[in-house]
Amino acid sequence: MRFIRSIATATVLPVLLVAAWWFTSLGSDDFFWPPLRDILTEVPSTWFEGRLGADVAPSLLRLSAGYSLALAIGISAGLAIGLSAPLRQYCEPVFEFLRSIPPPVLVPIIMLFAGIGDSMKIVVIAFGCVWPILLNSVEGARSIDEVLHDTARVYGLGPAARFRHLLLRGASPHIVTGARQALSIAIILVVISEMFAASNGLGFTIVQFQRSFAIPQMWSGILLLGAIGVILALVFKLVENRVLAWYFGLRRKQ
Amino acid sequence: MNRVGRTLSVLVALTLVAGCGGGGESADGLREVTIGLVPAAVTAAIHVGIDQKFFEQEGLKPSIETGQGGAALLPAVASGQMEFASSTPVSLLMARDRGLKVRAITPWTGDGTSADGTVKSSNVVLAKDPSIRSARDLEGRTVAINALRSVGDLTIREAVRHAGGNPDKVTFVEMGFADMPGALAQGHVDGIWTAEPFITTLVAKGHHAVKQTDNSDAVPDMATQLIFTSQKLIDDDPDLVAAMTRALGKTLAYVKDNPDKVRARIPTVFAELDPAIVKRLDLDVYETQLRREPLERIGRLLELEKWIKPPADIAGLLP
Repeated sequence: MRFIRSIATATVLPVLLVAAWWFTSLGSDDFFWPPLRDILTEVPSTWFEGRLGADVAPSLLRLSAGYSLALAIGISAGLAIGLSAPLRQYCEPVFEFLRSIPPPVLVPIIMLFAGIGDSMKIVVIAFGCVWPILLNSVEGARSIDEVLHDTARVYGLGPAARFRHLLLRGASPHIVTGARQALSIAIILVVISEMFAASNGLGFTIVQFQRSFAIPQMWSGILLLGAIGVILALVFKLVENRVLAWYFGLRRKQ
Repeated sequence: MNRVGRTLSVLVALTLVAGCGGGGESADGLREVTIGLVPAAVTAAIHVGIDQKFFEQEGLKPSIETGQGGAALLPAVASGQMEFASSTPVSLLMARDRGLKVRAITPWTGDGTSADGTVKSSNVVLAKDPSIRSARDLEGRTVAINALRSVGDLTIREAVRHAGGNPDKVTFVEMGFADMPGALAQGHVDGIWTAEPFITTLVAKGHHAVKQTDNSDAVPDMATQLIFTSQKLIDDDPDLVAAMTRALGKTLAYVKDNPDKVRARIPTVFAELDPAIVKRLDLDVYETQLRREPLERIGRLLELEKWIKPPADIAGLLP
């Protein structure tokens, strides 16, 4: 019963918004605001006849490659920096500088050394979404209670076990928060990176539709992008529930 | 602010932005109009027209906005946020094909014979590799163009086809004109389809033009940019459109005979450009006549590439 109710709560606003869009746009003859009906009728022929593999798949691959790279770098560097107070003091000003540079302005520069292929796009995505992961990992490693460190040592836990059960686990609530922020940044950056020197991908296709005045198709791409965002958020939630099961349980007890 | 409040305020802001724009009357009784132009050397000509008071004489006070490119300016004109703009005939014919009611009012730039008697083209493919000599050599190569599905790929594909090559073997990638020289130098692309002031700068650095890749090889006397407006404005305010057409006509006739005045105004558009380059810059040819044949040729190429459904709406585009 609770499950059904939560599904209903989550869907009521989207359904209302879609209905409002459907009815207000029904009689629209504005070129750039076509009726939702026209947009939806374009979806099958626009996306399900080859573009899912030709454009959506490359985008998702770039997204996962860039995001995984950011996770690997962000978590490992973040935990190392979080453990060492001097290192933290050295790095923090540099991080504040680097994280405030918007990745889109770096694209032409990244293009010079990473070329115009997929590696450029992956670097752009990774550069943009590494910061929330990194900074949250630093915070996560720092916030672990000193007493826990000492206890683990006294009980004779080896370095590997301390890393896995104390450091990684203890920092994981912070890391997950950073990773969630990074995921939405990654989706934005996939689209942006595909606006430069691309020849396929979701962002590329949406811009091409806009350029060739295929407006309903353009809107259908925007809707698809939003749908991918929702699906990825759901997948993230599932992973989060598994990884942080101990933490949620702990909080319920307290 | 909570999320709902933020979303609402964004919506309100968007509505306000959409509602703004449009002409008004300035204090001196002149009608304010907005012209959208591409950020290129050609934009200097409009400043010359303003200097010569051609717009004032028609009761107009133009303000210039430089958009990303022709395709980006089209929605702004169609929705009435700006009255006039320039765009390529390729974009305009594709827009008409999709049902967007836009119409050319005057020519703007084109390829043809310049004031000093030389025949030239606004765009050409430049390459670094000496083995790329003519259009046919582009087979199997990568060429950077400023926008896909526009003048660049249309004319290069035709050039390769005309040279007996297979245009499907040329890979096109999209990047800004300013990013192209770097990509060529690094070897990420084999050719770049570029325009002034980049041509003069790059040729000075030892790059060479690929033969048969001028616009004029695919479309003789190519109209590169046209000034257009929306059918709605033509219907609602024919006097304004007529006044603008006259002012632009005077400007075009004047700049055609006074290229030095245009050159003097180029720093207004490109403040950072080296004065030595400005001096040598190959100026665009300003057209005074809207010719039908180049447009029909573009229309046939668009039909050939299946970018539009035949027939191309030439009559609907011409004033």
